[in-house]
Amino acid sequence: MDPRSEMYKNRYKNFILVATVPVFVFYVTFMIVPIGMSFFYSLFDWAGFTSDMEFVGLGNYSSLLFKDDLFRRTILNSLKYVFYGGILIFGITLLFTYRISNFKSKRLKDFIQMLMFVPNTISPVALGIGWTFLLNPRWGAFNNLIDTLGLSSIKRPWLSEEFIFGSMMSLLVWIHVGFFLVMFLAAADRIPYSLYESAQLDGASSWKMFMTITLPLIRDIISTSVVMWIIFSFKIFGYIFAFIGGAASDPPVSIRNIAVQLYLTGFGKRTPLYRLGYASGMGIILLLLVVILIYVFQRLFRTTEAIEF
Amino acid sequence: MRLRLSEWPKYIVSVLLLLWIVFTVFIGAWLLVSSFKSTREIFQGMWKLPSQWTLDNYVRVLKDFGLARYMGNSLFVVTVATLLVQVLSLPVAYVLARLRFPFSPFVLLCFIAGIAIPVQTIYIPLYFIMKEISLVDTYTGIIWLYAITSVPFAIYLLIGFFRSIPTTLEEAALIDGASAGQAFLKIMLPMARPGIISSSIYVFIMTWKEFELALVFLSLDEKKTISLGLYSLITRLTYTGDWAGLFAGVILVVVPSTIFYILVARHFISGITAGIGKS
Repeated sequence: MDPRSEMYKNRYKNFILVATVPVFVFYVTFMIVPIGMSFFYSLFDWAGFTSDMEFVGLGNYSSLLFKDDLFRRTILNSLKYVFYGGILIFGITLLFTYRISNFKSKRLKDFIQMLMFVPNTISPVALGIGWTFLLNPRWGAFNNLIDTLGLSSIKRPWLSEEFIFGSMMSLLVWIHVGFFLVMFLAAADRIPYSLYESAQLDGASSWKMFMTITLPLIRDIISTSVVMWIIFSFKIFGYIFAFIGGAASDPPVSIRNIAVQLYLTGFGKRTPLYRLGYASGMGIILLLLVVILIYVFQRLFRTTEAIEF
Repeated sequence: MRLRLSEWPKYIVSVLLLLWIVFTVFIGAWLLVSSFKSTREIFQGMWKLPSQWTLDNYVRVLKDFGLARYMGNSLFVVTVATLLVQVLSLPVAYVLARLRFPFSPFVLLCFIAGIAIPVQTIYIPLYFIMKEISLVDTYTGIIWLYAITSVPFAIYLLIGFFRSIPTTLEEAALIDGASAGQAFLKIMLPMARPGIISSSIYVFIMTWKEFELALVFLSLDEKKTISLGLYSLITRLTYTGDWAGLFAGVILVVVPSTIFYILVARHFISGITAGIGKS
């Protein structure tokens, strides 16, 4: 019997209305309408909090994309986070998935997953400041450790202009490997063991089995995860904002992404001028980048599939 | 153990994995031990244990800097927001997972697309909307923002669960004359319990660590959440050079969420992946 049949339609009608309409209205009001408003604001030169709005058309966008070197640099940083970060995170996560899915002990498997997920549950402010403690060139644990291992020659000022982007990236990689590992392992666990048995009889190595059996079968979850990473990475804010103790000065330009630059332009307490029209333009560019990257990724991922099979 | 040459990738990755885990534990241990030191001892290097294991740092940040208050605020805001997310998302997720009605694919698409909206794109207009309805700098305001921005992902997870539940029981209830609402409340909700638990845990963790919305929408000190409170603590302690206090502050923020997570990890991991895997 199909609950969707005619007989039940009437009984469900009111329920559907009550369940969806209010939430949908709230959702549209607080999440979709603001996108339109943001676009509207972005057409004006507007300091906010006053009615003094000067219409500039797409002027903010042409300034942002062609004149504002600082903003262009933050776009580049955002793209670096998503690409380099993605390559490192998914590369490492896949290697760990390969190794951990071969563990015999379920408890060990669970324990490692749990431990590696922990950074994802911690406030980004705590992690941002904690990571700068760790990398502090004078008393941080990392340089201490290098000294103890007798490798003093590889000590570097990890928080200087030259290395700070890498330092920031290392934090993001360390956090997110644990997140995606949980998803990959769950997908790998769902593969029936029988699929591996014939390969084992043929004497295939564990690596070969991973590449030919596991990897193709967790494709879906990898694709979902990459989309999630694109969404996560553009939104990253707290880790960068609290890096180097953040509060004493604005975050250094070398690690700033669009999200941070937008906040500093729109609400940054140190900037005396609130440029809300301009900041709204950044918000629209941010949204477009996320949408475009997800679209491009899904196209590419589908094409490679077509070639493979 | 028998070493086999063809298995070399396994050995290399084992070493990497071991290093990763040791490093992770090491970071935690170092932060923890340092939080008991004085600022001077921290500067003397990490192998030196604290001369005196005192709770001074903790007392200082909890009492003088009100970290306890921020924690209380977070606990309240996040708990209410998590409940609200469930109340808002469960009926919608059920309807979208099980029933077809005019525009249902469109409604589903709208909600799922919401997952991709960066909060930065909408918080400037939201600020003015919230100001208009006098919800800036209020608990109600931040709870509402946390709830509504979490709804799309919660719906996405819950739909996965509802789809995995067999339809027979629900149909039996309908034949017995139950209303749709009764079938939902009495049959579907109990069966979706694992999904409800894990999506609640997810929303709880994500809003507990949320920082940016709090930064924009809360400025009164007595209403700050834990992330925002820690941030203002950083500002103040950096000026006084009180690094030891900051270590204690970081530990105080890290420990409760870590303990909470360890307690619920089993439900969380199985649930989250079941929900995502289905769609």
